[in-house]
Amino acid sequence: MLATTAAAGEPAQDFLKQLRAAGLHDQAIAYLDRLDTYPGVDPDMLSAVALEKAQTHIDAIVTARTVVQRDAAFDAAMSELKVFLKNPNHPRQPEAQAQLGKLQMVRGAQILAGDDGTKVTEARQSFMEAAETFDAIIESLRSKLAEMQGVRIDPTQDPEKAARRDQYRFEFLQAQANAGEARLAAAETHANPSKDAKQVLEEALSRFTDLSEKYEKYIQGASAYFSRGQVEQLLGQTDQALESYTRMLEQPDADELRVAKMGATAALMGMAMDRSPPNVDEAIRLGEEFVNTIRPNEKALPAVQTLRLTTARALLMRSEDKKTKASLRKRAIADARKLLLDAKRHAGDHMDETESMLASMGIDSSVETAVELPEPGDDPASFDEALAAARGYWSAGDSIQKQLNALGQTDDNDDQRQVLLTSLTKTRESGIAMLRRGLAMVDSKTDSREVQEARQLLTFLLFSEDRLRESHVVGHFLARSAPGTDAGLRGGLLALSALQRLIGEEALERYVPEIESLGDFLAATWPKDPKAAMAKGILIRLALSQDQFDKASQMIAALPDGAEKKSFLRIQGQLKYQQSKNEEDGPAATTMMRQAVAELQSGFRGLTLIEPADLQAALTLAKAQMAVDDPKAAVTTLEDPKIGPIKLISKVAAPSDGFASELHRTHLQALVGQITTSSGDTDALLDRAGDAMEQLRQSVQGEEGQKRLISIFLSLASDIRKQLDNANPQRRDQLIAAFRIFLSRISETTRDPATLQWVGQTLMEMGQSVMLPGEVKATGQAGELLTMAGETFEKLKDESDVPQTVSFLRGKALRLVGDYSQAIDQLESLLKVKPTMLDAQSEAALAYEQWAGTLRPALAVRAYKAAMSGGRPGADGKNTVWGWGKISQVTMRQPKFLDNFFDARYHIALCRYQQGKAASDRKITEQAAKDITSVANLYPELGGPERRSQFDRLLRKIQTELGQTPEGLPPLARVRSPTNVDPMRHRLEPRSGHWERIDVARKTPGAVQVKSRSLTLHAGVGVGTCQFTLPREDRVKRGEGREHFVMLFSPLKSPRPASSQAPSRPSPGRVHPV
Amino acid sequence: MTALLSIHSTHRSLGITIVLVMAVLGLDIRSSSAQTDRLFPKDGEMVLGKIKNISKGGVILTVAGKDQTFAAGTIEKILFQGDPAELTNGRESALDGQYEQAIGTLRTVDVGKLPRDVIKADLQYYLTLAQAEQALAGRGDLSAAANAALGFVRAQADSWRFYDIAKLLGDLAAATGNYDQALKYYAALARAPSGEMKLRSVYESAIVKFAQGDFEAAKTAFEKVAGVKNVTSPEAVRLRNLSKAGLAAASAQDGDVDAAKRLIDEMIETLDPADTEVAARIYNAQGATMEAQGDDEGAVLAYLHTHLMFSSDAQSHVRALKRLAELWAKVGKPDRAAQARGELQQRYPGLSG
Repeated sequence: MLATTAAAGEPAQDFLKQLRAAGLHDQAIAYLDRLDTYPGVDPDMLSAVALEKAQTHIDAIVTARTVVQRDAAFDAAMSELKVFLKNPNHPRQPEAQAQLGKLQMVRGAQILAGDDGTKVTEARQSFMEAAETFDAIIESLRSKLAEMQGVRIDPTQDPEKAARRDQYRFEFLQAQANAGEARLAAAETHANPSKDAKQVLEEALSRFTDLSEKYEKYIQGASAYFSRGQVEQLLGQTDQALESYTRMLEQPDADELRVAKMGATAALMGMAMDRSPPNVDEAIRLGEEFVNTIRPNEKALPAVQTLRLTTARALLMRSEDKKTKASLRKRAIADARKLLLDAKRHAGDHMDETESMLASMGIDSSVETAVELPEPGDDPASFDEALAAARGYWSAGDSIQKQLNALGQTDDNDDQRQVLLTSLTKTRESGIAMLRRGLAMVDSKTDSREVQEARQLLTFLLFSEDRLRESHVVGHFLARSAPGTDAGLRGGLLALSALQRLIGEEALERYVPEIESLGDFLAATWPKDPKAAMAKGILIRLALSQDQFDKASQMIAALPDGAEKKSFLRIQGQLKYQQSKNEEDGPAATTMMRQAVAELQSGFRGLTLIEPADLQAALTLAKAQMAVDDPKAAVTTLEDPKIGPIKLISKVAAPSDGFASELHRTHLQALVGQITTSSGDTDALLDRAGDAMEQLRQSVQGEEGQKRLISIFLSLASDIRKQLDNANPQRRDQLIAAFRIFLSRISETTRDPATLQWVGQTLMEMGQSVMLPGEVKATGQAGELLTMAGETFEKLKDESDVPQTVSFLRGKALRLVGDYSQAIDQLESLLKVKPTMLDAQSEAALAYEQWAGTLRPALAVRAYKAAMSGGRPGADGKNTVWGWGKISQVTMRQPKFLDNFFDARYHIALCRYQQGKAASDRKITEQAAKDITSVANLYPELGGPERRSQFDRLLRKIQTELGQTPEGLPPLARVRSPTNVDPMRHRLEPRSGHWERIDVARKTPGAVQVKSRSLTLHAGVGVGTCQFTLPREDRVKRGEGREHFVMLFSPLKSPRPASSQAPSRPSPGRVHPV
Repeated sequence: MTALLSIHSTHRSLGITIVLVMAVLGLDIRSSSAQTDRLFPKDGEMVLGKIKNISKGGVILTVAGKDQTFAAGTIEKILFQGDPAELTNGRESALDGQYEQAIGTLRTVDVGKLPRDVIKADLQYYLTLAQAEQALAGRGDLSAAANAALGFVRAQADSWRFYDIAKLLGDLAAATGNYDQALKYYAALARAPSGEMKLRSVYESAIVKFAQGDFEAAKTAFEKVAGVKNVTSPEAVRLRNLSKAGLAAASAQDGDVDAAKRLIDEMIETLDPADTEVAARIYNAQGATMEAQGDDEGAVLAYLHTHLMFSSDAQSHVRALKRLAELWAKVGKPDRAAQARGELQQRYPGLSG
């Protein structure tokens, strides 16, 4: 159209553009004033100087700093346009007219924007002048097009004419649209447009209807649906407006129509919200659909801001709707906030409303720190451009991450966090896309280091976005393609980390070979780099996580001596300790425990800087040393000045909440163990044990802590009892003497219930340990210890919160020293409160039974009767002490109390036998024999070999007493030996819930006895199903750190068909081999 | 190896591949009796051959057994067999005007490992060139650049780049105001074998005379170049146009404003906006002419042409900015004067004084 830069002569058009772009409008006008003095200027341009001046003034309007400057520029522009329009034959005349019309439109809008209400008429006039200008253009073009009508124009023969005709058509349609817009704007200056400007609106509607119906295939025609809808809405023609807006949205997906579609969307949203009741969901759906497609180059458009504000308004309506779910309402607020903040970034008329809406949400928009994302923009022109942009994205992401970190994790910042997280994801994804496009442009000339940097960035961004497989692929490629470089190493390490994370999400087996391969490669390619050594560390951790200790050991051994190697030794030692604890007792478990000790010791050798995790490792070492019967070493470990947790607990943070109590418990146990196993300075050790106990007591807090303390103490008492049981008589006497003093000292210096209970319990355990087999009443040293125990428990009787166990123990202590009356008194008082305490019922029945043994025959008969039938009736006339009979009845149908059942049945038979003897009544004695045989008929195994043997011996006695042959019980037809059951893995399928892996073992101490008549395990084969009764939970030993149960199957029953199983049995679970 | 080379001798297109293969395999190409250098004339196709001789006057290349002579000043560049990648890249950057990048790349070359003296000389040349151009653009030390150029001349007295360096020495001397020295260096160009270099000798001398205020002598020299007929090479045509612009400026300064204006209009009529150096000189000359006429506003518009449209030639842009800084103040726009001064200092710190 005009002179181009390639042409010779004064480059007027280009220079003019440069002047305008530089804001040198005055210089541009000066240049145009003297343009005719320059050589070689295009004549067309010389003839359009006024138009160019007008354009320059219009440009100046935009950059005007004051109203005065702006108004002057308007006037000058219009003046120049009018000058130019005096030449009606200039080819650029329609362009000038359109320019004038637009200027009049802008002028009208400007007046309204700064209006205080007095200049509405002036604005309206400007709009109507614009309408007239556009009308004139329409008429002018109509006549020109009419002249061309019927004339055959061949574009190939006369391209200039064809182009002119197309230009006229375009301008004609544009003028039609503008004429309508001008009238619409003029009408809107009235307070009530449908009434005061009805005619103007109808004229506008006529233009838009004409355009949209006749020229729908043209941009102006299609766009007219939106304007048509606006006019119809103003005229109150709601249904028609709805249809026009809808038809607008149905138009093809063309860039030129997007602004009109945005307007139609916002209008439809407004109509949906204005309905009664408002259709907020529909409004939000419409708004969000469009908002999500907004392009980078559209973000600053006024139509976009309108859409954002309308959508935000709909979201806020949802947030205020009490019927909507709380989570949706919260989300709506967050989304509205983001939209408003996005709108606020762009200047425009929407600003006041935006700030007002933000303020209504309690947001001070002036201090809101929304993150401005870099625009993804178009495709990068080169790899360099892509890399530079990606660096920017990475940097922006880093900045957002820092903001997120600064926000913390409080709920108050949830909304802002969501906004930032969304920004972070968008930033990273943009970086990924940019790098992908850039890397596609790499060629032989591209700097290889920059390519590596790009791949490294891509690996990192993918990893950050949890696109782990892709991150692994890119990072792996980088490592292999850039061996020896820093970028290659970083890529490899990221790839390795991605694989590690994948293992957490997917099947382990799939990625292990890849991890091993990549880890080996990194370690071999960067042998001296400490970061590459991390790869080895990952492999070691992987092996350890799979219990592949041999493999892990080899890799650890290959590590250079140093902190990392020691660290792995400590980890492996702890894992082996756990594994050993979970194993069945035996040589393998012992060997593993010894390895744990050795590795932990190696791991601590030379270690000076202790972390919290190291305290745990040191404690584990002490426990492992205890487990290999070396309490002295355990004490040494715990008290070591460099690594000992006892010494460091005040300096290093505890690794867990319960660590301190666990530590002092172990310390106390170790000290007690040392006392009982060595012949060192017992007094000194006892002093230290006293200190340890005090530390332990201080380390527990609260009610739960007290319960735990009691549990620890009872366990410790039991340990002491075991040690005493295993000691030789001389040593045992020494220990008892020593402990007695120790316990007395503690008892005298504390009123702490838990401690006193421990003292009493320990004294009882010691007393029982020195009673002779079969001895019913303690005498001598045992009697003294048990008396002391009773006295200790007596101290606790007035304490509140003392567990019922103490009453029970006191009753037992009294029974053991032969004070049966007081024992029954004590137990009665307990049973009045807790009648179902089975141990106390048994203890009371036993007290009657043993008391009977000390009475003369007449009284003994009654006492035996009380032992069997109960005594001490309560207010309701029922016996508080049940006696063996009721105990057997209560426990008979409860599998978990089968042991109590058989115990009670035995004592019934025993009491009956003794009663018969005391009463010299053969019938009673015969009844005693029947008591045994009837139970044996029902339960041939009688609760196990030991118990059966007990029954058998008693029956023989009775038979002898009756003068019968002491045949005892008939032999069992077939008893499978439990020795045939090898430990094997099974899985437990409860009736509800998920299956769990279990280990079926037979010799694990403290394991559960699973008793069932329906046991159908095929011994020695290790296959088949095993129907069994779920054991009592409190008797299941849950493996530490492992989700499986350790069980003991004993005794084994004869295989029976499933159909013969007793129907009254509780529902069994299933065990399957795995 | 022998087999590969025999293929090379008959299949030129495979030559590069074979060289690369040898390089990859770590074979010592210096042991080979064959040698392949690639010479790129300023005008014409690349020539592949063996360098037989190098002198100030040019290069003799043995091509397919026959010697071909290329005069200094007609050669764009030579890629030598044994060039390290860093030299190849740095050379291209320098020829592309990316001097900062060129210096960064060329400094990574390990000189001790360069297999041939001619390659060492080439490296030194491009480093000297880049350093000098940076200094001339106001982004480096002019004295240091001059010392480097002198160092090159002393070490490589027989280089085919001798006259290029002599021209650079002249430019550096002129930029530091050492006009007499500059004239000596430019005079040396007259002894160069190429006609273009002889023309440049006269043109650059005219520029120095203009700078010295000897407009009469400048006009004479400019007229000499501007009046040359039957020039065909683009370089010679450019020099002639530049000389016309210089002649206009000198005429204006000498009081012959009409002649100057006439000459400028004539040049604008045939302006090639793509040749920014020439265009900038023309509009600077127009600015000078209008200043001489007392038309400050016209002069502002003239210098704005250079500033807004043809600013890639540093010397001309600096001149335009300096004049604008003065003229804006004269036409009552002190803020724009300050802006021009600021841009001058920011973009050309070494030339803003």
